[in-house]
Amino acid sequence: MAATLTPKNPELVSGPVMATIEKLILNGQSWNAGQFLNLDANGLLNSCASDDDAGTGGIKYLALSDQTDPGNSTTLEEVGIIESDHIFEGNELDGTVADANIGDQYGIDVTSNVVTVDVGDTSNPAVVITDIGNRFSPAEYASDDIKARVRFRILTVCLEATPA
Amino acid sequence: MSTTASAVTNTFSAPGVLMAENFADVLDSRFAFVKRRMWQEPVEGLKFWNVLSTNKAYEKHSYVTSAGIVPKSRDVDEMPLTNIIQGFDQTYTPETYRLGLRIEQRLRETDQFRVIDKQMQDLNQSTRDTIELSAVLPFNTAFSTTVEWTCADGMNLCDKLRKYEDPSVGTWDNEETSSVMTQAAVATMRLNFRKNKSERGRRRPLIMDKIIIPSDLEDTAITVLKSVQKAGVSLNDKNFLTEYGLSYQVWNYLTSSTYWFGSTKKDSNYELFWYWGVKPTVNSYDCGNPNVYCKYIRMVFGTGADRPHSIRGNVGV
Repeated sequence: MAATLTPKNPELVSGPVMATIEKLILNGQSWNAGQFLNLDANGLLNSCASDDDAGTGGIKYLALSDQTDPGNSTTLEEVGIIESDHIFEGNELDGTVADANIGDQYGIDVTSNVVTVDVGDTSNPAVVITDIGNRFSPAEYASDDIKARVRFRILTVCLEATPA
Repeated sequence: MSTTASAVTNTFSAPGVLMAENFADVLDSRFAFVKRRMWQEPVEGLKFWNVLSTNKAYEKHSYVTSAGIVPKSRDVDEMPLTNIIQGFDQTYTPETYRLGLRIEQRLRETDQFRVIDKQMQDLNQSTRDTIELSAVLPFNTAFSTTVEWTCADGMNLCDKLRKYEDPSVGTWDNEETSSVMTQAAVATMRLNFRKNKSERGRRRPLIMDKIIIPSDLEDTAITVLKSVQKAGVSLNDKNFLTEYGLSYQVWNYLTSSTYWFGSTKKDSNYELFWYWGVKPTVNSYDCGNPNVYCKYIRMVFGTGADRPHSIRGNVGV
């Protein structure tokens, strides 16, 4: 039975224990727990935006808690360090997914502080889909779900992207 | 008395390990009370399956039809012969389900309310939820157009135009004409069980035992089954359904508010099978960090149906 799911931020569902690190927050930045973060050219924490890929700072960290704008660039925040073996589970931006999407690379969308995978965007690859909802939990998800659940990992080129 | 809502956010991060950043409240002794909810709920789904165990990678079911009608034939004639027809095959492949939980040691040590250690019990709850959802899946998708769970004949749990094993007989169905659950509709379903036919299209009556309903239809079921007289009409006719010993069973996991099903007793002809490969077991595992407490639950099961003549469904209105 098709359902339109409500997206939520990606959850780590497989891989090594996530290590954490304290980093300085870029002045003016705020985010919700669970969002992806990267670094600006000065090494300050920045929340990832739609279409961020290896050319725009990539994806490096996971926000562990909500963050409001600190009003300076001297405030430290503990964040999770994403590794290439980390598999996340999240939602597709606005449509269905199929077996053919597994293994392909797609961009991310960030709307209202929620990160989703956009299978309509192959121009800004940031993640590779490793599994889809109706395969890993057929009792929970259907193949025609909208904003379908997907599992994905972050591309290594994004994890190692030059800060921008 | 006044209360002040202080839960200002429902955002959370999910870093794959329970850590202090996610559970500030359980570290804060100023809270008078941090509860770990325990829901009381019955195990429902496996009641509607024939539950078996296997230690094989897969189990294959098949069956053969009965023989035909015995013709007139004089003793001096050549012996007339029958031909047995092969039925539909079904392969039951139990699949592995696992779910792990990792907890930062420091979170356990500083937990003011002793709720984090009890999260282990949530793995058991996850198992129960998975079993319930897997058990109800064929019923929830019984009338859907896109269905991943199918019976041995490749059709939904309830469907029309099902092929008989003997193609010359035509088709059968176990999907009733959609109708509100009334005494007449239940009677029709019961009658259709009685008119069940074998693989060769011969009468093989089945006795309807109960109706399976979502919680939305419980009031209706009581009226339909238990009224002494015909419900909703001004006649004083007896409610004949009271004579058939029918019961109803609410299945809270049915998602539709209108679907209702009829079922026979679970006997050897009840061909919905749930195969346990391994029943749920909880174990510890090493995630490579001695200060991260790791537990996981694992189970192996598969489901399927051979010939679903023991279930009839009505999509309702």
